[in-house]
Amino acid sequence: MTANLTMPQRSLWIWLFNPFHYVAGGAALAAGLPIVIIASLNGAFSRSHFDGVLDFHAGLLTPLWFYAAEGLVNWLVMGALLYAAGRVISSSRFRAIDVFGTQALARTPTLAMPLLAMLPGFQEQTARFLAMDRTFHMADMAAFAMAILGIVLMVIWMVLLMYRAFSVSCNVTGGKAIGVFIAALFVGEGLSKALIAVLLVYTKGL
Amino acid sequence: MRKRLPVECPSCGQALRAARLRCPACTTAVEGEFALPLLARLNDEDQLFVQHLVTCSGSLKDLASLYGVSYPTVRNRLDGLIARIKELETGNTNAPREEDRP
Repeated sequence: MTANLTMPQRSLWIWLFNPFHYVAGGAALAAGLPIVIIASLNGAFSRSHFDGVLDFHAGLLTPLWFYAAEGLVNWLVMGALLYAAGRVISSSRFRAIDVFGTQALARTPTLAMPLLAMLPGFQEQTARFLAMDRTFHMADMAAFAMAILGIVLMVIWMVLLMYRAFSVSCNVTGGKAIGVFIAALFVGEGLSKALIAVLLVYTKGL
Repeated sequence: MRKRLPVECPSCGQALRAARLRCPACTTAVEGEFALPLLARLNDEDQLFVQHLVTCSGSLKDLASLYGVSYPTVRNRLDGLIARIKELETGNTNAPREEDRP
């Protein structure tokens, strides 16, 4: 695999979908870790949780530290899984800080998700769904649908960034890399949900 | 205008060899068959990468700063270059040696 280093100009497209061509390691970690924590804490304003590597749900009111812990668990779980996967399938030497740093930065799209969940119509409609209220409000439904669409797009963008981060930091490409990444996503989803459930039990016990 | 050294035959794609070397000062010419050095058989971009790697004293971190890209990007490029050089080395060991020719 040969990376093209002589880019004629810094493309916005590259910055949006593969910023790891330019940023990795400590710089990515320094930028990404605050993003992980801020996005998670923003969930407190909309009572929504990043309760899994890919998950984002309206949920219980919990202590502020719990929101931050969820974000950190999701990041650490995926970082650890992809680091281990890279050690198995990559023929290159790579650094753990590149894997963890780029995975943190890849979660940038999560910044927008709690903001979308704060839309007034979304909150009202979510409350109706949770109360099994069948009252139909067109404006609220429209806001809810648009927020969901926006959140789904952010998740897709995040997954693409996570794969690119894995590909660049571990120097893996092709079908094997994609297959391993998808497997890591499934395992990561299960593992992160289990860890967050344990954390919730601990929180309720306090 | 800087001319690029052709390294592959435009007709069959095999590696070219130097057949005649000439001194521009005294016009002495030497004829024979000389294999091109391995590094000369890399493309322009790879040769420049090697040059920059040497002038950065082998520091990939400095090289990444020079190119304005991330460390893994430079690392991955180096791995690709290593693979290319190994291909060329393998090609050299398989080629018939002078003393083995009939």
